[in-house]
Parts: sequence; C-alpha cells; structure tokens
Amino acid sequence: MQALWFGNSRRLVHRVTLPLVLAAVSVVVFPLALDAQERSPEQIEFDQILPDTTGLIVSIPHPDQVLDHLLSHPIRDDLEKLDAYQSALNSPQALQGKLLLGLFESQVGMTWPEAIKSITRHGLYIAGDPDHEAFAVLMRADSETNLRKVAGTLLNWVAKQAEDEGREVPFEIRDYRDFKVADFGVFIMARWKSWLLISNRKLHAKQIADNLLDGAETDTNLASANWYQQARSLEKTGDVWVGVNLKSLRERNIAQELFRGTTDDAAAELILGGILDVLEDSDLAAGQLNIGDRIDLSISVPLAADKIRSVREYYFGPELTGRAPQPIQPDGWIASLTSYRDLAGWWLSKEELFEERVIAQLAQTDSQLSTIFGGLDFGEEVLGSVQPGVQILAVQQDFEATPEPDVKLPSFGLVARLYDPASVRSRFKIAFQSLIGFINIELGQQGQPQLELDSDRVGDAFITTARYLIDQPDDYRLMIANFSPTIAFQDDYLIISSTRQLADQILAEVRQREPATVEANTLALINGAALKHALKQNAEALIAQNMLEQGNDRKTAQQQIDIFLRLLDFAKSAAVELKVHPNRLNLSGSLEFNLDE
Amino acid sequence: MSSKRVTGTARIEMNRSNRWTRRSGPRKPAWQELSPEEAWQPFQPDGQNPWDERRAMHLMRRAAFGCSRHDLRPIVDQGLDATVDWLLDESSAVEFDRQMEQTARILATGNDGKGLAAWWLLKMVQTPAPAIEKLTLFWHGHFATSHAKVQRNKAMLDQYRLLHQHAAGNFADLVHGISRDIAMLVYLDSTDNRKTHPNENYARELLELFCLGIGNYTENDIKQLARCFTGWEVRRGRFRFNRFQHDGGTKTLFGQTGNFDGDQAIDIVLQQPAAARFIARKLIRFYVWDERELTDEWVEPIATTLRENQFEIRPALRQIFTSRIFHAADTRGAKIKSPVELGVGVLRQLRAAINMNELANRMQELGQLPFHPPSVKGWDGGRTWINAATILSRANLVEHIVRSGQTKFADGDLAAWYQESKYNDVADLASHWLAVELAPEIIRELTRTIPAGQTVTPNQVASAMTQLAVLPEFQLN
Amino acid sequence: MTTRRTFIKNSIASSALISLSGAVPHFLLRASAASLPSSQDSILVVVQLTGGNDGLNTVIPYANDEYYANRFTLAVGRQRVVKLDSNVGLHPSLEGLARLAENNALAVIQGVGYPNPNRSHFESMDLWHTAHHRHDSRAPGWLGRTFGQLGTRSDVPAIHLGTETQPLALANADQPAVSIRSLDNFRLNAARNQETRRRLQRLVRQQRSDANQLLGFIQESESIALATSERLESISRQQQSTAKYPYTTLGQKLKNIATLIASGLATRIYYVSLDGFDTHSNQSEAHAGLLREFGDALAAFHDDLTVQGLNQRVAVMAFSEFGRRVRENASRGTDHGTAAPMFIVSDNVRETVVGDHPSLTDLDQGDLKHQIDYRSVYAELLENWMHLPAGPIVGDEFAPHPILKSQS
Repeated sequence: MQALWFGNSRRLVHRVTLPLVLAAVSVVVFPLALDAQERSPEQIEFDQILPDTTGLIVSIPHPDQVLDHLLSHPIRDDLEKLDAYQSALNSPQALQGKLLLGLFESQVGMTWPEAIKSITRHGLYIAGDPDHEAFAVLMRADSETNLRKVAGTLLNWVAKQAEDEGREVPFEIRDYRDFKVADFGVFIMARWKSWLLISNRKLHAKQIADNLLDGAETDTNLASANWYQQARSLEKTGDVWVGVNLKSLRERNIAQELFRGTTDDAAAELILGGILDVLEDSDLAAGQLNIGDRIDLSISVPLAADKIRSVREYYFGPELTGRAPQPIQPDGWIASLTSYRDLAGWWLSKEELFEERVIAQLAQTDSQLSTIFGGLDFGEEVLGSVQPGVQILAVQQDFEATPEPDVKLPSFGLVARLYDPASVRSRFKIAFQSLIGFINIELGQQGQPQLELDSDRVGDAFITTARYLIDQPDDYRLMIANFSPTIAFQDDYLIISSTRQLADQILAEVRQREPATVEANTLALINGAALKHALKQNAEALIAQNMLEQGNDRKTAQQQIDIFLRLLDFAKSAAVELKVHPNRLNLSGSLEFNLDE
Repeated sequence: MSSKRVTGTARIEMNRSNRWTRRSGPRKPAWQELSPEEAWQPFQPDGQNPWDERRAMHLMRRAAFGCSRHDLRPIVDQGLDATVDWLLDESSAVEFDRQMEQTARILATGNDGKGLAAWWLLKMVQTPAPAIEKLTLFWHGHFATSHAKVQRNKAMLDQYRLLHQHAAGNFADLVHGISRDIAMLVYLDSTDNRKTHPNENYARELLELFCLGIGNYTENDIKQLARCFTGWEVRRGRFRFNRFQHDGGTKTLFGQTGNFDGDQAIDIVLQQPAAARFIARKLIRFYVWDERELTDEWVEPIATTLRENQFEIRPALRQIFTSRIFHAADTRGAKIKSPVELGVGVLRQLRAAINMNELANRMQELGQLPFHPPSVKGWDGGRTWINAATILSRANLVEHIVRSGQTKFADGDLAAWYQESKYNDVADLASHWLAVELAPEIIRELTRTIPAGQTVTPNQVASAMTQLAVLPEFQLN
Repeated sequence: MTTRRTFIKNSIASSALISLSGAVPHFLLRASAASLPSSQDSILVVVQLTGGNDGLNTVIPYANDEYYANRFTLAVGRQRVVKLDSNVGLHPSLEGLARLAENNALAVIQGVGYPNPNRSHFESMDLWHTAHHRHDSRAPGWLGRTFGQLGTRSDVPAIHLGTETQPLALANADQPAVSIRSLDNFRLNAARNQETRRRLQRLVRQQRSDANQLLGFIQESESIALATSERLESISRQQQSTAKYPYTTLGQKLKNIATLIASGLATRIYYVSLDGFDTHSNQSEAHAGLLREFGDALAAFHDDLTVQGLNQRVAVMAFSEFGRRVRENASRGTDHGTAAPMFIVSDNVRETVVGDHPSLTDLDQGDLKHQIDYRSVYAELLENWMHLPAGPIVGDEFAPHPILKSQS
C-alpha cells in the first residue's frame, strides 16, 4: 500500500517572485496528462464516498452562495465605512496581504472570491473520523482547469518560499492511481479531476480515494450509516449542515462533559440540566446554519421520553409539556429569559442532581433563606408556592427622577405566578421586609444611606417598595439612582424588581393581557437597540474595563469601545429557543440585523 | 471581615537579621570610604565615573520603575540634574492624571479592591511621571491603609489622591491631611473620639509610625496628643469636627503647654528633631539601601535639608538622587526589587501591556497588592519579599509577560523591541536590565539564547528574558 | 518502595551534576548532607475546622437527656449515634472516623478549650495558632516555633495546602513555610524540559562574589525553591497515589499530602483547612455534609498511608477555634460557644475516648466548661510525637496530656 501511495515522485519547482505563507484554502494540482476515466466526477455524492466510520460531517453544498451572501451582505458596506475598518486595511500586515492577494489574483486570472467559489462550486465537505483520528476535507470544483490553476499557484508559492529560506520543499509529489498527490508528511492533498481531498491520515485518504474512483460498497459508506440517516431526517438541509455521531464520541471519551448528564452547578443545572439529560443517551445530533439577511442556527437531537430522568420533570414538565410563559416586553426591554421551570422540584431534587459538596452548599443557602422566610421551608413552602414558568428581564431605565449616577444600571425583574396568592402574599412581603431590614442594618453599620419601606395599592396591585432618600450626598448616587427594590402582586402574579419603575411597567403589562405560553420550553431574547443604548450610557465604565483588562491607554480603549458600540448598531435582535418535540429536542438561534441606516 | 486577621498576622516583626552575613570582599565599599557629609555631596561625573547609561538606568530604577533602552538615551543626553528635575516634576502628567481620574470615578462606585489595585498599576505603567507615582507608593506604605478593612473604593481613592497630590510636596501637608482622612481613620478604628474617652489609637500610630518612631516620645505624649484629637470623627462617610466632644483643656505636649487642637499638635510633633530624621531615614531605606545600618550621623544631612526646607520633600529627594553615595558602584543592587517595582518595571522596560487584573493577582501572590498593605506598618520590604514561593512566582510573572499570547508590545513584538532598543547582544541586554554585573560564565551561558549574526526572533528574545528573570541578580534593584 | 529508590536515584544524579559543574556553593553542600530524611521522622498533619465546629453534635453524649432537651430539633437520635462507649458516640456522618476508632487509630479528646474563652472567630483562632504565647516575635505561630526547633533544612519545613491565607500557626520569620495552592502551581514555568531546568539550576547555583549579601540570600532561597519544585513536579509526574479518596476538597488535599509524604519529602508539618462550620441556622444538613467530608477524607488518608507502610510515621490532629453553645437557637442552628472535642488520628493512640464529656448542667453562661487545655494536647504531640521539649513552644505550665503510647 505504501508503495502504491508513494509512487513516482517528482519535485515541483516553479519560479514566482514573492514568498507566501500557505493560505487558508490550500490546494494542489499540476499540469499532468489526464488518465483515462471511467467514473464521471459529477455522478458522485460525498456521502457515498466517505466511510461509514465518519463521526462528524460538515456539509456546505453551495459554498458559492454562502460566500456571495456574506460578501454582499448589507452589513459589509456598513463595516467598510467604519474608520477602524479603514485603518485596519491600511495596517502594514493588511497591505502585505493585499499585495499577495493581488499577485495571486493576477496569476490565476480570477479574483479571490471567484477562485474560492470556483474550486468549491459543487460542495465543500469536512469529515471527522474518531475511529481513525482522521479528518478529511473534500471539495468539488466547477472545472478541473480552475482547480489546477489555483492549487498549482499556491503550491508553487510554498515551494518557492521554502527555497528562498534555504529549507527543503515541504511536500513531495506522487501519484496514487488516478490521483495526483502532494504529501506534506503531516497531511496530504490529492486531486482527481475536479475533486480535491485533504486528509491527515494516508490510509484514510486512500479509502476515500478508492471510493471516489471505484464507488464504495453500499453498506460501508456514510450514506448507509444508520446515525447519518437519522441525522438527515432530524435537520433536513441548510447552507451549512452538520451531523455528529455522539455515540462514537461517547465511546471514545471525547467531550465527556457533554455526556455526564449533570453540571454540578445549581445555576447551570437550571439552564442546561434538561439538555444534558437528553445528550446523555442521544446517539446523534444534527444542525443547520442558514445565512441570509439574518443568520439562523438550529440544532436537534433525538429525544426518547422514557430515557429522561424523572427528576428532570421540573425542567420539561409532566409528559414534556412544560412551556415557557409569553414574555412580557415593556418599553425599553433589553433582554428577557422565559422558561418553564418548576423551581420547587429543582430545589428539592438537589440530592439527585448534584454531588455532595454542592448539596452541602445548597443546604447552607437553604437554611439562610428559610430564616428570611420566617421559618418556612424554602423549597417546599416558598418555591412550592410558585407556579412553574418564570421570566427574568432587564429593562432600560431613565434617570429623570434621580441624580445621574456614574454607572447606569438597567432594571432587573423577575415575574412568576403563585398558586394561591392570597395565602402566601403576606409571607413574601414579610420576607422582603426582613431582607430590606437586614440590608439596612448592614448599610447602617457602614454609615451608608438606608432604605425606606413603603407599601401602597394601585388598583388591584399590592406594591411594596424600598427607596433611598433622594437628598443624600453625591457619593451615593449610584445606589440611589439604580435601586428601589420592589415586590408587587397583581392577581396571581408575583413581581420582584430592582426598581419601582420596572415594577410599574410590568404591572401595566400584566393588567392588559391573559397569561399565555409560547411554543418553547425556554426562550431568550435580546433587543439590540436597547442593549446598545444601555451600553452607550455606560461607555465610561466600558472604557475603564477595557483599560484594566487590556492594559490599554485611554485613547486606545476609547477607540475600541467606539468600534464595539458602532458594531452594535447592526444588531437588531437575537433569540435562542429550546423546543421539545415528541421525538426531538431542538435548540435554535437567530440573529437579525439592522439593514437600513 | 478578614481585616483583623491581616493586622494580627502583620504584627510579626521581620527584623533584618544578620544570619546571612558573610565576610565582606576585599574592596572597601564606598560608604566606608566616604564620611556622611561627603556621601551626600553632589556627585560630579568625571572620566572615571561618567554619567552614562549604567548610572542613568540606576537612577531610573530607583527613582521610578526603570525605563526602556529607547527612553534612556535622552536621559543620558540631558544629564543628571536635568533628569532629576524632570523626575520630580509632576506637571508633565496633568493631562494623563485627568484621564485616569475619569476611570477612577467609575471604580469609586464599586467596592472591588483588586480593581482599584489594577487601576493604580496601570497608572504606574503608563504615567509620563513615574517617579511621582513611585513616591506615592512610598507614602502609601508609610501611611499604610488597607482596603481589606476599609472596604470602600471611594475612601481609598480619596486617600490615594491626597498622597498623590502631596507626594513631592510638603510632608506636613500630608500629615495634616491624613489625620482627617476617612480611610485612615476607619482603618485605625478611630472614627469616634470622645472627650471623656480619648482614642489613643491614632495618636500612637502618628508618633510611632508616621512621624517620630519608637523611643522619641513617651506614653504621656500619646495621652496628651489623643486629647488634642478628640472631636475628630467620621460620620456617614465624612470627616467632622464635633466641637462638643473636643477636649478644650490645656495639654502639655513635648514640653509645650496650651489649649492645642489636632492641627497645632501635629505642628508641635513635627518640630521634634526626631521627625526629620525619621522621614529622612525612611526615604533613604526606600530609595538607597535595604540593609546598610543607618546611624543618625548618616541620616542627618538629609534630615537637615528637610528641616531647612520646612519639610518640603523635593529638595531632600534631589539631594539623595544627585549624591555621591547614591551613584557609588556598590549602591547598585543594594536593594531587592519590590513586587510592584518588578512587575511595573518589566512592563515599562518592555513597553508592553497586559491585563492589569491579572497583574494585580500576581502582585497579591508576590505579597504587594497596592491598596492592601499587610498592616499599618506597611510592607517590610527587603528580604521579606523573597521566599520559596515568591521567588518562583517572580520568575513566572516575567515568563507570563513574554510568553503569553495576550501581551501587546508597543514595538510590535519582542524581536522588534530588541532591535528598537539597539541591544548589541545578550550581554548588552543584561547590563541594561540588571543592577549588578554578571560573571562572564553566566553571560556566556545566556548568550546561547540569542546567537550572534542571525535575525533575532521573538522566541529567542523571550528565552533570553525568561532566563534573565531566573537569575538571582534579576531580583536586585 | 519504588518511591524511595527513585528519590535516592534522583539525589545521586543531581549531586553528580553539581560536582561536574565545579563550583559548589557551601550552602548546597549543607543542604545535600541533610537531604535524605530519616525514615523514622514523624510527621504531623493539622486539619483546621474553620468556623467553630458544633462539638455536641460531633461527639454526642447520647446517654444524657440534657442533650436532647437542649437540642430539641437538632439532636441526633440515640439509635443513629455511632457509639464509642456507654456515654458518647459519633455523629452518623462520621462513619469514616468510626472505622478508624474500630482500628484503634482514633483518639477523641473531649472538652478541649482554654480559660476565659473568646467567642470571636478571629481572636479565638489566633489563640489556637499562637498558643497564647507571643513572646517569640520571630515565630509567633506554635507550629512555626515547632519546625524552628526541628531544623529541617533540606526541604521546606512546613507546607500549607490551600487557597486561603497562610495560617498564623505556621508563621516563622526565619524559615518561612510554603503555601501551595495546588501542586501544579509551585513550579518554575521557564523550566520547560529537563535540559532547560538543569541549565537554569546551574545559572542559579553558579558561584557568585560574596560582596552582595542580598544576592547570596536570594541565591539560597531560589536554590531551595528550585529543588523543592523539581521534587514536587517529579512527584506529580510519577507517583500519583492510586488509593481511592472521596472527591472532596479535603479528600484531594489529603491525597496530595500522602503523595508528598510518600515521595520522601523531608517536610514534617502539613496544614489544611475545612471551612463552613459557622452554622447559625438550619445547621443539620450542612453540618452533616461537613462531617462526612471530614471523616471520609481522614479515613481514606489513613488507609492510603497504611497500604504504603507510612501509617507509623504520620499523625493527624484536627481542631476548631471553638465549639457551639449547648442550647440550639431559634433558627435551628447554634451560636458561638467554647470547649469542643479535638481528634487525633494515629496508630499509636492509647484509647479512643480521652477525658470525660463536659457537664451539660454545670455551665458557664450557657457554655461548656473546658476539661483539657488545648496546649496540653499540643504538648503531648510535641513531646511524644515530634520528640521536642514542649516548654519553649507552648509554655512550661502545660504538661502533656496522655493520649499517645509512649515511644522508646
């Protein structure tokens, strides 16, 4: 086999005038006579030639379209207008790169996007094989001539660069059957007609090459692999499609964290617990990415209801029916997370969910919280009185009524519904008062302004707010302006917020709507404009953070924050959803842009 | 919460022991050849003792945080006196300080003491007036106050501003200011001071640690001084003079009798002959020698300068920095670099920037986190900087700076920095970086990192720097 | 066994290198002469239970009705107590310690404290760390004074494993103990391979002029640091203990200590802490968790040492700055108290239960009166375990309290 692979070798030496580092897309091709052919390259599908041991596949059937989308994306024009982009373009490194690109373009007779599109016109595929610790990159060009031209140019440059530096040319040219092969030692590149193959394992590459030339036995190729077929039915297609054989990863102890079924972190459990539970017994995952004016990502894993641990009912709800509440979006909302979670179920299942150390910490927290709740058992009686389905949100605030602080925080709020508001309302209110009491003692000891509690009724709503007195010395502007912690009750709604302003906003929203759910278990949303506004209000804090974390001087930090804020102009909204279908768990995300400015 | 622990531990006396004393070499050290009067006379460069790169770098290392080879050239060119004038002049940093104040306002809203330390470290790395920043660090160690107990960024920053404003100014202003400084009074549990119950804590530290030193006052002086400070309070985060709690009676302090208030009492304390000697000794310890015995006779010339200038700091420092003894060969390397001198120095000399929070973490590991001195006595310095753990961490800090991909170099990369610095070879690099000369065998060994006659690569320079940092000589200043 | 041989091989290799390099600084000769620890040297491991451990719910006077009257919600039922004798027994979460007791490897010293008890965490902890004995300002810590007298010079005299500040007990200005956050942390990163390490060590050890005393001092400190870090690194490479330890912070720290001891390090004092014992409210579950971590880790440590044949060399002492009040508070927790039990794990204990349980009726303002002064326990360990005169360390007035079998 080795002998076959390392056939007659020749060294390739072409003269070019400039040195070059191996570019991102490295390809090989040389002007040699074509061998006689039997199979036509057009007839072959990539999944028929990859072996069935493939455990990871990324498929981009139309890279030219993706590249067109990216290059013609309206955002690109905006980006190019940025000073930072322009100055980056004029940096010495960028200028050198530009020069090389120009040279490359003149030698192959195509612009660089044309060259990339041409050599990947009929698909770009990346495959990983955990069994053989091998990877393979496959692509099919629109014409053999173009593939040759591009690859030949790059290879020549590599060879020339080595010569200039007095090194040996880092590859050798061989033939393998009808393939032309450049052997770099740690990896090989091989071309047959308009197909190009790159791989780190020679045997692996040989198998794929043979399959290309001869056709694979039908039951040993990827197309026939059971996991792959399932993955294909989970997520059909996309600009980029990804399939992973989780079982083979698990068996080889790759990415073990994903398959432990637990995080041993109480907060992370609330977010990830259910996902990890499903991953623990899932054999595969599939995903697709679509790039248009917006970017959409969707990842699915098969879900078997009977394999989900009963303790995760708090996460998915009975019979997996848990659905997140419809998010409340008051004016100026920045971010929102709504989710179906039975908090009492989560808290009371800690023994089953976590390791001892975490359990002990939670037990301590439990005891402190129970104290604040006047001896009520925190899990059973406090969390137990809250219905599953909570929302956490952050909302801009205006600082009209207060002195302007140096750091302007958004308001944070939590919205939930109670099973029996009449019986627990007072307990929550008292707990809130106790907490403010504790805080006041602490503030008093530090000689800081204290909070004044005030209860009032607005319509049907019971509201208790703790406020700082406004006429305090300047030193305390931050606290005074940013905090007026509030607890409020309206019908069965429980609202806890860092400011009264937000509590009033939420109350106004809940009064005019019926409780409803969305079709997702968990839904996270970000509002780009409001986020940018909140960050811009705090540009000074961002600059400070940048200076300390990067060691930058003020001018550099200012520039970087400027660019960051300008980039945020383009972000319109982002959403992440976790959906539970009868046989499938789906996590999807989308990013939308502001396209007209 | 842990403040008590900090003060408790810190009471360990770390005397400078003679356990390691060795027989001194054959050559007579300069400080034995010169009389104290001669020693503090101005240094006159001559053919044998020229004002050259070595001496300029020594001055920069001690008075500031060293400097890059690039910045050293103009210093050599302008001569000693002009350099000292420039070092002690804060006006070049006015705009820079104003910008850093904007950042400080943000930090003042929080309570993250480490962030505050990171901010000061950044200031030390970037300031155009490094000697003023170093002098502020000296006063911070002198009037030591720790965020670990004070727990309020704003109060710590206010104290910093006081120390920074008067760093090269008048010592009396500093003492008057610090006596009503919130952070200091909170730190020393002196926020309450009643007529019927004078709080002796602050009075004691003022005499023992800030102005005179043990042996130069009596217990009765403490009691009398404490009475002068009655009514000085902190209420709701502000200083307040409570006239109802002030003891308006007659006090007898250091032989003077009268109805003194706190400020008058401070002036009386500063009139004591020991006061100028105390500050002079501490300055000499900080800037000149870690371990040389400092008899009154040796300290007196500087103390006299302080007295003659009504406790202005600048003239005394100028005298130190331009003195014969400061520029004597065996004064070089007579100090161990403090962690801050090490970290800030490496960054300034490499013209590099790293994450300042990370640098603050390293400073804590090395035992000198700014705004967090271990006790009211400040940092003991000298040999106490070095132990088995810190000596490794010191070398690792340099390794981190030159090897971490996160470090940014003003010159682009280390190879460019090396070329920009115009180092001829590793021996040249070492002589710029080290306070003392290396043995030829060691230089030969180091030379292997950057072979002559090739294009220097960043990796080679990084190797040279990490190896240099492992040498015991690297710790000397 | 292999560990010992590897170690000797290592030291021969390094001494050969030194002699090749020609100049041998005198301090290195001194160090290498003392570098082979005697396999007889006893080792003390101190475990600090931070926050004030509730002694009454640790060593439980299950036969005493007063206990049940005062601990109306927190009491452990008679049946659940793991009995040590007809009066007292261990909390059921202390299975690990119970197993040690069965093997006669545990001493429970009852009612340990000191006169005029201080109920502040910091101040009481300071007393336990200094042994009230502050006249030696260069070594205010009682363990600092201890290793000061042991005179171990080839390796660091004491190692504190943990991320918290170094305990005052180890303070010694002349011979600093080393605090190690993790074994990986205590290393010279520039020494990327053996060759570079040797080069760097040569650079450090190279003979230098005597003129600068600071330089000599730094050189000496650095040589010791390099030697220690090399040792720690070769340990973490080769000899990870295969014994099973619970996956808890304390378990892993003790595992590391077992590894260090087995490697032949000459260090004779180790120090670790377990925090969280300040259980003012709903203490039941939290306290049980801490006790389990404590007991299981100690048992695993003892098992491991026994398998490695090191159990005769190592004693463990555990203490807390104070116990808690007899009567539980209104939040199902307990507040700061006074006397509490100490624990010693050693194969040389005389008997399991030492002293009588303090009376639950004859109280000092609601707190237990101490029976045994903690300095007598220190004195016992100093005289009968470390073989040092205890007087200079804890004061002459504290006679050793008999806990260990006297050794020849």
